[in-house]
Amino acid sequence: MAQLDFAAVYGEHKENVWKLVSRYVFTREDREDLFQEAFINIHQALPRFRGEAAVGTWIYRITVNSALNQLKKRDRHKKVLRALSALRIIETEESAVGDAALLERPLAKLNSRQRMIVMLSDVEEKKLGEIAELLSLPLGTVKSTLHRAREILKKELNKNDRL
Amino acid sequence: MIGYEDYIKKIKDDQAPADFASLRQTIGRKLTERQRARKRGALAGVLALFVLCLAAYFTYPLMQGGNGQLMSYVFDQQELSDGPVINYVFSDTGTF
Repeated sequence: MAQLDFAAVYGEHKENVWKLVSRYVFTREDREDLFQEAFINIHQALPRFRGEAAVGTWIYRITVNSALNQLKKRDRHKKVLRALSALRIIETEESAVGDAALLERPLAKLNSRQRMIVMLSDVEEKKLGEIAELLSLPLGTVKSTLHRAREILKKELNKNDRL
Repeated sequence: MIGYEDYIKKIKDDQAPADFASLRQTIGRKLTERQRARKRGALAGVLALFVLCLAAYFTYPLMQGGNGQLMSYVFDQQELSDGPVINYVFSDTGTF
């Protein structure tokens, strides 16, 4: 299989990747960060692309993994902030209340895995089997995590009257 | 308050246009920065290895010499213990 050209891959798939990252994060800054990170990962993985899957599928996987990594990084950041705030070293400030923040708020109650699974299942409309394969998780774990995540989101939406 | 389905629909519909040319430029810049950082890391590794080799080159002969001195010190003492003075002290033919 001929070596893929990064410029061609970027040209052909940029819009799909943007559409995909827009479903995982909501502020422009986060979207741009995730988009860039996904394409940097694609660039680094290009020499290893064997053509076993379609380019689109391969790019989709890399983008989803990049999103998951970014969400995990955020989880860690949140934990540190919470710990510092509990020790009264810093004050946690209320984030800005724009459309993006409002959309993000219920999802912020989920951990990175719950969020990814909800997104893949309910926004991307992937089958549970596909999600299990994509995230290398047992099917049962995907089902239970999805159920729990939906419950948390519904509870948050009931509390939230500004959406 | 909105329902779960409406919330998911809002997420699906929340699409903003992107400036792909500027994003492409930033990706290029970040890639160059990372490549430079990787090269710097490799260079630092090679340099550290070189310094280690250099240190080993100069220290090893000294260690060998040091060992020689140490062993000869031990054996010299042993030789001394077989000498006439020590034999005299520990001999049974004392005058007590």
